[in-house]
This record gives sequence, C-alpha cells and structure tokens, in this order.
Amino acid sequence: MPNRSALLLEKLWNVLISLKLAVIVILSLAITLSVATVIESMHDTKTAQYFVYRAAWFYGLLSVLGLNILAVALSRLPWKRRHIPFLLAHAGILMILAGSWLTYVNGVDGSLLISEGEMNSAVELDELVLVSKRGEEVRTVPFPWMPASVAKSFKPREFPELGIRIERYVADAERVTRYFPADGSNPEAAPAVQVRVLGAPMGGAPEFWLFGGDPGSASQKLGPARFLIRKEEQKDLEAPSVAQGSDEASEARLDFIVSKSGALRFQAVSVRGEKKSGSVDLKTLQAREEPVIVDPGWKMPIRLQVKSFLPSALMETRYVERKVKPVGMGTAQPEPAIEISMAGNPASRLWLGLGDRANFQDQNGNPATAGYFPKRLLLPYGLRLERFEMTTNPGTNDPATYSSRVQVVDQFQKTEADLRSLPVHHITMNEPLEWKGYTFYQSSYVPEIPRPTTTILSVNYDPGRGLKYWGSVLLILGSVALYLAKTVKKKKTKELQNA
Amino acid sequence: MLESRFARVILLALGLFSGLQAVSAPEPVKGLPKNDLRLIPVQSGGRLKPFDEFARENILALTGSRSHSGFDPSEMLLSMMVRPSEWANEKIIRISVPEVNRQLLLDPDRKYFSLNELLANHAFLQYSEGIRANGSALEQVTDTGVNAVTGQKDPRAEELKRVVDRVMRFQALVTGSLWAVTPGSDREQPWKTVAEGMTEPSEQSQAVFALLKSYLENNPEEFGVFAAQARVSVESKIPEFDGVKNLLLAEVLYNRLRPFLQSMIFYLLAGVLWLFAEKKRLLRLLAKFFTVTAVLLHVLGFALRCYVAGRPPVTNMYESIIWVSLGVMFFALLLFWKNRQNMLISTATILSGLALFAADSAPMVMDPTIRPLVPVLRSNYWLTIHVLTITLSYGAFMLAMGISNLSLFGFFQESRRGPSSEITKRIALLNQLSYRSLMFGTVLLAAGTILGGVWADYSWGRFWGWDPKEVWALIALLSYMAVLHGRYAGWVGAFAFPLWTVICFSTVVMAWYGVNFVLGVGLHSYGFSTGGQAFVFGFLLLQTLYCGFIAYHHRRRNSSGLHRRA
Repeated sequence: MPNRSALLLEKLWNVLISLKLAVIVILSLAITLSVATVIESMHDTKTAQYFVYRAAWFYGLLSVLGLNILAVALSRLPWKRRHIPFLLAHAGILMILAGSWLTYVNGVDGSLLISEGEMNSAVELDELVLVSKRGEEVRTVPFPWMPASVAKSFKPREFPELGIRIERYVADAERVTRYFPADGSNPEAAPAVQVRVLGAPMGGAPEFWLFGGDPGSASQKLGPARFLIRKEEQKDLEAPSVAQGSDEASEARLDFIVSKSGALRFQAVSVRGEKKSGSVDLKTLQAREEPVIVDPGWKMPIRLQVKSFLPSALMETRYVERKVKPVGMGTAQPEPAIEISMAGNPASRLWLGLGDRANFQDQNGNPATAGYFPKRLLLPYGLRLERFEMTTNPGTNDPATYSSRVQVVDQFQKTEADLRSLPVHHITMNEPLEWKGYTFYQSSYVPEIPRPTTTILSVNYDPGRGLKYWGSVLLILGSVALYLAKTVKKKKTKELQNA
Repeated sequence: MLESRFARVILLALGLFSGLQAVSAPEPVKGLPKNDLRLIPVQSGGRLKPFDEFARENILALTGSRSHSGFDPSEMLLSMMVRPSEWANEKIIRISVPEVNRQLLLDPDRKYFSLNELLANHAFLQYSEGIRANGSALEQVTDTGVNAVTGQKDPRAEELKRVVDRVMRFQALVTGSLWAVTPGSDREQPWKTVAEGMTEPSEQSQAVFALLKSYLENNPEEFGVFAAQARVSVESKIPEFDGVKNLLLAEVLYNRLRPFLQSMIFYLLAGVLWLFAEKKRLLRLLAKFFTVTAVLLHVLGFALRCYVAGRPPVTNMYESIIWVSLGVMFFALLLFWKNRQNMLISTATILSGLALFAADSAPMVMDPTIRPLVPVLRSNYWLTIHVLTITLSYGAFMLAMGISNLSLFGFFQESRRGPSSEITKRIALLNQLSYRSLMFGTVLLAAGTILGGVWADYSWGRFWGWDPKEVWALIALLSYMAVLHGRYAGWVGAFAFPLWTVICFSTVVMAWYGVNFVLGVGLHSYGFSTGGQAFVFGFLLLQTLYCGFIAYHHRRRNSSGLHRRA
C-alpha cells in the first residue's frame, strides 16, 4: 500500500504535468504583465520593476512555468519520434528561462561615461548603495530604491557598520534650497542675492539665487550671459575668455559685488568688452514698493530685477517629494534622496541626494564621509575615449549616427607614447566592442555645444547569452516542426478517410 | 499691445511678394506645365526631397490633408507665395479639436479658418504670444501632436500650439523661409532658403524669383522655362546628384500615383464581388482580376516606398498598417491555394481594404511622411527582420480575427434557423482556416519577439528588458498560446475557439497600437504618437458587443435544450 506522502507526491506530480496548470500559469503571466505595463505607464519603469519584474513572486511564477514544462516533458518518457517537435519547443523555453536566470544572478548591465582624452574604468550599475569612509575604512551597503507608496511607511533604519542612520527617504526628490540671514561671524556665511531675469533669450522670466558661499551657486549661466556674486576683496577668478580669431568674448558678464560695509553694486561687461557699473538701491529694495531693476547695457534686451539681498546668509538644502513630475515621454526616472543622521547623534541631520557625498564627524569626533551612489563596478582595465563622432541629418541638428573611438588601457601603460601605440577601436551603434568578457555598446552621449565630447557606453556581461540563443533556436525549430507535424497528421487522416 | 505684435509680424511678412491686392479667391492656372516644378530638389526635414513632397507635407501641416482646394500641392505653394493676401482670406488653417474653437469663441462646427480670421481673434493672439514667449518654435510641436519638449498630452493645449504653428508656418511658407533652395558644399550643410535669397542672391533663388514672377503673370510658357531652369540649377549644385536623381523621380511618382489608395478601392470592390461570386463565373473572374490588381498595386506602392526611403517601411503606424494588410493578403492567398473558399478571400480583401482606408484617412494621426530614422534604427539588419516578422504575425492574427468573426456569425445563424449540416460544416471549415492562420501567427510572433531580443542584445546589450513593447508582444503570444493549449486539451471547442481568437486580437491591438498611442512609455519611443483613440476603442467596443451578442444567442439556444447538437 502506498503511504500518504507518496500519494501526496503523486497528486502534486499530476498537478505539475497538467495542461490546466499550464493554461493557468500562461494566463496569470499575461494578466500580470499587462498590469505591469499599466503601472509603468502611470508611474515609471522603476516602480514596475519593484512591484513586478524584479519581485520575488514574479520569479516564482516563472519558476512554476519552468517546472510545469519540465514535468510535462518528463511525463512523456520514454520519448518517441513524434515527441521531438514538442520536446524541442519546450526545451527551448526552459533554456531561455534558465539563461535569463543566469543573467539575473551573475550578469552585469551598467553604463560607462568617458570624456574625450580621459580614461574610465568605473561602470555605474543600476543598484544604489550607501558608502561611508571612516579613516581608511570604506564600507558599502546596498540600499535599493523603493517607490513612494512603499516609502510612506518607511521607518528610520540604523546602519551600524556605516555609523549612520537613515531618518527619511524620498523616492523622487526635488532639491529645495533656502537662504536665510546669518551672523556675519559665522565662517560659512556669505552674501546672497535673489534675481529675476527679464527679457531672457530663452523666454520666460527665470529666477534664481546667487550665493557666494558655495562655488556651485555663486555663478549662474543663462544663454550667452553669466551672472555672479562676489565679495569686494575676492579676486575675479573667472574672467571671460576671448576665443581665438574672434574679437568677442564667449560670454557677457554681470557681477554683483558686495562691499565690506554691506553695500551692493554691479559691474557688467558685454561680449565686446563694454563696461558698465552702478550701485543697487537697497533702500528701495527694502521698501518693496517699486522693483529694483539693473540694466547691464547689453545689446540683448536683458534687465535684472533684484528681488532680495542678504549681505550675510547661510544656505540650507532639503529634498522634498517632487510635485510636478516631468512628462518626458516616459524616459524620466525617479531620483531618490535620503536624510541621514550620525550614530548616537540624532540632531546632526543632513540630506543626501543621489550622487551626493557629505562630511561628518563620527562618534569619536573623527572626520568621516557618507555618500549615496549608484553601485560601481571596477573593470580590470580602463577605456580611454580618443574621439566622439556624430553626424547629423542634412540641414538639421538631429543626430543621424554617433560613435566612439576608444582605446583599451591596462594599468601599466600610461605614458603618452604608450597611448599612441595602442590600437583604436571604433564602437558604433551596431558594432559593439568585446573585451575580456565584457561588451561595450554605444548607448548615448552628453549633449554639449558646439559638439558633444562625452560618450555613454553601456557595459554588459551576460553569462546566460548562449543558453538564451540556443533556447531560441530550439523554440523556433520546435514550433515550426509542431506546425508541420500537424499538417502531415491531417493529411494522413484525410487519406485514411478517403480510403 | 502684446497681442498686436504677433499679428503685425505676420501681416508684415505677407506683403513681400504680393504685387496685386485683389480679393478674389486664388485659382489654379490652366495649362501650367508642372513636372519640372514638382521635381525641384528641396532640403527639408533632414533629407532631400522633391518640391512636390515638400509642398504636400506643408499643406498637410496647414490643412490636415496632403492636398487642398483643388490645387496641385506644388502650385498651391507657389500661389500662396505670390498671392499671400488672397490666401490669408482662404479658409485653409485647420483646427481639429472643437474645444479649441470654443476656447477661441469660434464656430465649433467649422474645421477650417482663414489666417485673417485667426489674426483678428484676440483670444488666439493672446495664446500665441504666451506660447511664443515660452520659446515654442516650429520644430517643437511635432506634426502628430506631442510637444517634443514637454511631452504634454493635453489635447487642447497641443492643438492650440499646432494652430499657432500653422499660422507661423503660413507666414514662413509665403515668405519662402522654409523653402531651402541653394545647396551647400557638402551633404550635411543646411541649404540657403528662398527668403535668404532676397539678401544674398544665388543662381537658384534668382531662378525661383523668375519662376514666381511668371506664375504671377499667368504665363505658362515662361513658367515652364523657368521651372526647368530652377530645377537644373539646383540639381547641378548638389554634390553627387546622379546617385539620388531616380529617388526624386520615384517619390513624385509615388505621390501622384497614390498606389495604396487605388489598391484600397480594388480590395473593397473585390471583397464585395467575392461574396456574390459563388456560382457566377463572370463575377468570379472579375473578383479575381480586382484582387490581383489590388495586390499588385499594393506591392508596387510598398516597393516604391522602400526605394524612396532606402529602408523597409516599418517604423511608424502608417507604414506598419501597409505591411500588415499586405500580410493579411499573403496568408489569405497561401490558405486559398489549398482551400478555394470565397469567404476566406472576401474576408481578407475587405480587411486589407479597410486597413488601407484607415491608414489613408487620418494623415494627422498616422503621418504618411517619409522621415529619416533615429540613430538606433539605422542600417540595422536585425531591426528589419525583427519588425517585419512581428508585424507579419499581426497580419496572420488579423486574418484569423476576420475569419473567426465570420465563424461566430455562423453560430448566430444557427441560433436563428436551428442547426443545419451546411452551417456546421462551414463553421468547421472556417475554424480550421482560422486555426491555420493562428499557427502562422504564433510561430512568426514567437520568432519575431525572439529576433527582437537578438536585436536588442546586439544594439543595447540586453536580450530582454521588460520594455512595454516587448512585454505586450509577449502578452499577445501568451494569450494565443493559452487558446492553442486549451484547444489541444479540448476545453476550447468549436464556439469558444473563434470567440477567443477574436478576443485575443485585442492584445495584438494593444501591442501594435496601444503601447505607442495609449501607454506611451518605454524604449520604443521613436514610434510614439497620439490620436485615433476613438477609432480604435470604437472598434474594440463594437467587437466586444458583437461577441457578447452572439454569445448571448448561442447560450440561449444551447440552454433551451431544444436544438442541442448530438
């Protein structure tokens, strides 16, 4: 008498080899996938991946499909000749599934950014990590992206190995910067001015702050004009350069200069070198009755409205959930941000956007760094971009083709002469470069004027490729054979009937 | 103040060529030799094209149709240049969203407005100032309706932008600033326009001015001479012109012949004839003749388009419809070879005819313009094979859908008249044909999807990335797989099989149309567009109602138990 577990096993086996299961799995896959595309359309690719394509249960569903196919194939043992088409097609599906699994587990899919004349070997992957550096010790912990709906219930999380704690998480963040008056004795305080550009060449009336305390915020470029704030005692470091063979500077400049006493004046230089200067009437500005307008006297009809001025200010950066999603034909992906605090010091909070790093002091008062980055993979060699090339459609600026000429540089070859002797590989849209297991594809570029000089390659290592390709061949052969077999069978029955 | 600036700029531009200030409606000049005019090469939209095509594209952008008011498109453009103030009174500027009319306090029942009507409209001028201040230029709003910069899909805002674009295009056309006529020294260099020729005269622009003058003076003989002169002078300045000469000729031929329109007419005629040709030899012969003519025209048009574009026409909705309808005919003829069923060929010709009709009737939604490919699609062997295979499978599924609808109609007849061996036999035969077609479709769809993987691997470095277009192709494949497996297991019978075949076709509609026009996400963004929702959803709704209606009658008959089949 068969015992109970054997009976149960047999029942399970019967379910596994049933066509019913196959149809159910196929239909649930179809429904799941259609829901996933709707999620992607309503939110973004990352959200669809989080809930479906990269969710464990989805892999479970695919595994059930694989098991079902395997069991059905085994149930036909011993195989006969008439089983061949069926076996080919279904073995093909199994191989494709297995290959995809290998790719998922061991594959690499990232991007590599290289500027002309430079070398890079750090491939950016599609995973996010938290990094801390304390002394010489660098630690990395994965901190995957999650959609806003999940982040709602986010609880602060401790990372003892990094010495930090994540206090808040924003799935798709927008940077908000605030400037507020500060005591002049604060070493980080600097002057700040808020301006509005009227008659801007690009249309609209852009408004922004210029803040002397941060190199990134001290100057702002708008079309052919640059606006800048500096203290009187600071030297002018960014004198506009004059291009060779031209008597015009590359840009017009307008400097707001803050004297020690806190007075504000401006100094404008046009592209032809004509200068104009004057002071900004702070009394009118404070009275807020009529707008304070600065006219740089340029040929282009630009005026500046000074909206507020803080002789001594501090900057505070926060991240908030993005309210207006950019509608970029589905290409815009969310950019997360986190607020962290140091271990044992919950008051010491700071925000990290994706790609930011910040300095802090650890429990023992030693300097440390924390960062929030895409995970990086270091290749055993570097790629050097010799030249990025682009052609356009006749009479337009639309790219027709683009390609990169690169050299593969080992760690040891560094001199100019060595570089010159290295072979140059041409990576085009349809001709990738394969090197020691990795394949480099021309994927995109960073748009620049007058011509782009930074290429974006996608880097790929796919251990499942062979399985997927052979599986595809089998699947196609099998389904064609299934079709032919049916036709032949039909003919035979017809002949029998006729006889 | 602001309002009048826009109007002033445009009105000012109108005076340039106009010698006469008559107010009569412009009319075509009789006996005008137009061949050389049509063939003057123009650089526009990133490629070299004949003036005929340039004119048609611009008239499409203005009026929503590739030709207008009984004018030859090329002549209409010239007429607009020499008589701008008369054309400013012609109702040729299209507004295709009625809400926009209401927003502008215009008659909501009218579709066409004259330039002067719009420039006298305060609301319109206010909007156009706003749009212009935000930096919208001609190239930012694509002809098919999505703002390339913001990607916004508010139909009203988009249409308003397009109307502003049309008004600005009108101005650009009459001043000659869109007509690039003086070639540069190399292929990529932008050409100088006719407008630029006013300040920097070139041989070519002089020839065009002479041509315009002779047109204004109603002088067909001189016109012929100057048109030939203009054509030769442009041609002689294009580097390596001999290599492209035949392309321009072919494009004018393609535009003038309109092979798909003619093919559509023959298809529809043939489809009707086949229905009545069962026992009438003469009708049958005529139906055969029409079918063959339609297919030949279809193939000819396809080949011409391939030749002109330098690639298979499969990169947008318009081109894929042409290929899919050809696919329908291909499979139908293949099946017809073994099963001489008039119903089969009738279904196929009507489907192809309707598909071509849909493609031809909505040039605003499905842009028939030949455009250069985006870089990722260039010169790619795998792309061609992958797209051709997948869309060919759509053809097979479409045929299966058509046949299954007929089969379902058989069940309706059965529920009315009671079972008859004739109907049962016909249903069995139709189901068999539909099954064959499905098999073609699934094999091709599987192969095409995999080839898409191969191409993606080759071009992007990954075989499969759950991109919506890939996913919907897979969903369609899975749906048909479920039907085929169900049929194999015997759960899907003579009635359920055609029913599910018809229902599954909606997944093909989604993969084909929905991903690009409804979802609008993913890597296949080079095919995205808007419009046609009402038409497609209408089709799906009708199809659902039809299925529901027949299923209801079928069930009622079966549950009544009176006519239960053995």
